[in-house]
Parts: sequence; C-alpha cells; structure tokens
Amino acid sequence: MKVQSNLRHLWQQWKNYWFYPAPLFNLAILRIVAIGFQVIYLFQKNFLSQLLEHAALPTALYAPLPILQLLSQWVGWGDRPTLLVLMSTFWLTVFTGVFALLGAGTRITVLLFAVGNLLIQAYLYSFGDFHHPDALLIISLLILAFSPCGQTLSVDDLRNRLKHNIQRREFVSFNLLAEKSKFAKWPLLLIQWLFSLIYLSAGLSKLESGGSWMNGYTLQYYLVRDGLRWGSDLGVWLGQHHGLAIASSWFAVLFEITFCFVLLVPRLALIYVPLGIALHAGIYLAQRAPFFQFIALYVVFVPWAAVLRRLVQRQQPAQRQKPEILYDGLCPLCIRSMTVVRYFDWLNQLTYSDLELRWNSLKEKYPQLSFEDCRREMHVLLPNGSTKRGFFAFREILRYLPPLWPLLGLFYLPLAGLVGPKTYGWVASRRSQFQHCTYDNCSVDAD
Amino acid sequence: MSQIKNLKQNQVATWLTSGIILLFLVLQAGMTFRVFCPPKPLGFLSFLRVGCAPKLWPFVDYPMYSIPRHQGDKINQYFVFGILEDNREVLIQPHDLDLNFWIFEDQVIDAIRKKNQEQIRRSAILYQSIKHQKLLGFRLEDRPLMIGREGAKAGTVKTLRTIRLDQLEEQTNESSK
Repeated sequence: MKVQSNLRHLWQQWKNYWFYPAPLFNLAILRIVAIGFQVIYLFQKNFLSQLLEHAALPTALYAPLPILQLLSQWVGWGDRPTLLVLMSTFWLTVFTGVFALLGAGTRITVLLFAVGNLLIQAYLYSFGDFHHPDALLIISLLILAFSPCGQTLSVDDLRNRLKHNIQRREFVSFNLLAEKSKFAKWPLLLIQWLFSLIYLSAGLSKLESGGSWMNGYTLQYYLVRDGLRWGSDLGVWLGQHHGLAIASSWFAVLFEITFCFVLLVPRLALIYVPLGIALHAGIYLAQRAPFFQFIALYVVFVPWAAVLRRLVQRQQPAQRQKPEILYDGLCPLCIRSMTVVRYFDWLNQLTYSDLELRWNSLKEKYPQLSFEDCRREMHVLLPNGSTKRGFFAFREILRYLPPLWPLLGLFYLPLAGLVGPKTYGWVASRRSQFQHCTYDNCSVDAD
Repeated sequence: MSQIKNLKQNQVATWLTSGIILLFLVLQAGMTFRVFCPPKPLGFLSFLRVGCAPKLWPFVDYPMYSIPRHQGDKINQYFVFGILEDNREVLIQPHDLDLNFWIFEDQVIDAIRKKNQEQIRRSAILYQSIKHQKLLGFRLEDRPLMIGREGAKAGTVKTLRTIRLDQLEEQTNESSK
C-alpha cells in the first residue's frame, strides 16, 4: 500500500517536473533555431559533396553504424545505399527541413527531417571516423519530432487560426506568448539534461587522471597540435603561455563539471550560457573544433516568452496608447489580414478595432475620418493623433512587428509610395475575388 | 464522451513521452558514466563493453582531449611522401587523395605505420588514379615538437618507415607460398 502511494507520489512529481504547462512559444523558437541551423549547415558544410566523396570510397571501408543498419532496412537503403539514394535522401531532407522550419505539415516534416539527418550523418560516420559536434543536434531534432513544436509560430497554426476566425465571422484576438501546453516543457528540459550529461562526460573524462589534466602542458599540447593542424595562429600562440593554459584548463573543467547546476537553479543559465558561448567560440578560434550546434541549442535555456513579455511591459506601461488598427469586421479578407498581423505582433504593440463596433466612439475624436473611407481602406490611428490609410497604414503597421521587419525594405523601395497605394486599392476593390472562403461558403459553426 | 477520450489520449501521450524521456536519459547517462563501456582497466566489467562509442551514436561519450600530457611530451607531426619512379619524393596530403584529414590519418598514415599492406596498396592506386604518376613506395616522416613551459620546441626529425611497393608484393607472394 505504502509502495503504491510512494509510486503515485513519484509519478506526480515526475509529471509536475516534465509536464508542467509551459509556453509553446519557447518550443517553437527551438524548432526554428535548431532546424534553421541544420538546414543552413547542410549546405555550409557541403553535405552533398561529402556524401558523393564517401560514396566513392571502397566498400571495404564501409562499416555502418548500428543505428544506420537498423534504419537502412526500415527505409529500404539495403546493404550500402547507392549514390542516387544518397542524393535523394539529401534533397528530401532539405525539402522537409524548409517545410519543418516554416511549420508546414510540422508533425511529419520534422520527423522526416530528423530521420534524414540521422541517416546522412550516420552514413558519413560509417567510414571509420566520427565526431562529436553533431550528436546533440541530431538527438534534439528527434526530440522535436515527438513534441508539439509546430503548435505555434507555424504555417499550420496560422492556417488553423485563419480558418477559425473566418468560421466565427469575426477576428478573435489571441496572444501567442500566453499559450501553453503540458507537452511544451519536456523537450527543452530534456535537452538541458543532455547538455549537462554531455558536459559532465567531458569533465569526468578529464578528471580520470586525477588532477594532471590541469597541469597546463595538456592544454598547451592540444592548442599547439590543433593550431598547427588546422592553421590557427591563435591556438599556437596560446600554446606558448603556460600560466594561461593552467587557468583555461581549470575554467574548462569547472565549467563542464558544474554545468548541471543550471538544472537545479535555472537562473544560473544567465552565467553559464554566456560562458558556454565564450568557451565554444574560444575552442573554435584556437583549435577549430566547431561546436556551433551547442551554441545554437543554448536557446533551450532562454525563457523566450517571459523575456518578450517583460520587454513589452518595460516598453509599454499600461497607460501608454498603442497604434489602433481600424478594420472592416464584415470583410473576410480584412479578418484574414488582422489574423496575420496579430500573429506577428508578439510584443503586443497594436490595438485591433472592428470599425462597426468602434465607429460611434471614434467619429467625434477624429472628425476628418469618414465611415465609408474606413470601410474602403484599412486605417491606423497613431498615438500622436495622426492617421495612416491603405498601403501607408500597412507600412506603418510593419514598423511595429519586428518579425516582419525584413519586409520593410520592400515597402520603402523607390516608387513604393506610388505603386503601393495602387496595388492596395486594386486588391481592396476586388476583395471578394481574393477570398477562398467567404461567409457564404464557409461553415457558420463556431466553437 | 470526447472529453474522456481526450483525457485518455493525454494520459497515453504522457506515458509514451515519459518513455522517450527515460530512454534518452538512460542512453546518454549510460554513455556519460561509461556504463555501456567501462574503462579497460576494469577488466571484470568487460562483459558490459557493449556500447563503446560510436556503437550507440548519436549517444556518445565526450572524452575529446582528455588524455593528460606532460612536460617533454612529443606532438607527432606525420608527413607522408610518395616515392616516384625517378626516386624523387613528393609530399602527399589528404586533399591529394580526395580524403579528409581523419580518413587520411586512419587509412594512409596508420596503414604505413602498421604496415597494413592492403591499405598501402589501395592508397598507392588511389594516388596514381588521381595524380597519374606511378608510385614506387611511401616514406613516413615524423617532425615532432616537444611541449615545455615555454611552448613547443622542434624535436629530431625521424623517418618512421619506408615502404617499397614491389617489396610488399614479394612479401605477400612469399607468405602465400
């Protein structure tokens, strides 16, 4: 009886730790960073030519890793994949990676991307040599594949919200930073645990010889050897300084052994993450050991939603007036536009007002506005009392949406002030033709 | 009804996810604490050496740079020279054989050091097919550096091994007889 109760208590503790509701936003950031990094890395490290080179090596050198042997049968790779199969796998991985990054068909694309990378990397490591930097990222991609990482900041999610708002016949505002799931925390925590175990592994292996690893000569040896091998003058130079080598050795070992404290006191990440970035950057500069994956994966230690919320509070005291968008709540295209704009308004910088509901209280304050104009074109009321309309309203909105800032360049191109309003007017006057779904043909069942 | 179904799905998802968490933690912790690959000096645990890296890749241990070095230790710098038909020597580097550094070290340098005949012959064929120059043999040279308090000082240059391919063949023939 007591054992059962203890087990139940343990299970509750376990659930409270791993499955405590957490912002989906943090998980989505991990998806974007990890997958974005790996997609770029596939090209930057020229994986395609690496695959071609390895495919040309004699079969006698090919000793597939167990995971590859296991997966090979499952994905139909056979004993040794042909060049065509390797190239197809590479391109399929890239293709699914782009979709996974955008969050389109996330469930399946993240899984395919993770498995594709696992296959590619395992194949490259099946010729007698393997390296450490990729392993954690590959594991992280697998973790992401089992998580709800596409439930926010994704095309899938945006599409659902658009559908939902159109079905309800109204723009229902939302706040991405506030949305939580009990399955949003475990992937981040698990990667944090893996970080700790990995650093512990590195630290413990250095301590196996007692304290002699920190004698200074060890680090001098590796700095000079790698500096010469990979052409790093900094490494060779550092290798000449015994005192510096002793200090750096102690720092490295202490960092690796104590990194796990971040799991107990998450605030320590404020110290350990910058130190870790400095450590890996230093190792790269001096020894050319590229652990960039680790730097990218440090995103798991940042509570992004909380950071952005705090930023919002600091930037916008409650009394500060925000720019107000007036949209036509009877027009499905406008509801779509508002949903998209709100989706990128992470910092909660804008107010969204349905013209029909807001007009009575507005007309006295803004006598220069006419109801018909507001229905014809979107208007933005700025805190300084001025108004922007149509294309210029849209351009003004972009300024408040940091994720969309890359588009600003397009909106400020020469002649944009001439072409933009015409394009906007043309689209606005043909609203009905730009809608896949109108109130007439959409379901009226609202949740 | 649908709420009960959701609750059950949620419970199943929680159990499955817990399984994944445990599996990943056990695999990585096993590698970190060398449960799957106890150190060789612990001979009585050798039956546990079933998961030495990279057998469980991507779950691996991280012992890079962990061997301690001491004052006076040598940094070996190996140079491979090909012996041409006119007895001239040509330096062979990884890119000459379209190999990366690690595979070159494993398949060429180690092969010459350990006199791995099959591998040496394969390296010669690879060189000849890429450079269109016939090789008579290889010479492996070490230009070591000695580590000291003041940094690295050059040690004595030494030829570790000179291998003639024709002698290799004779040896192979003799051994096959």
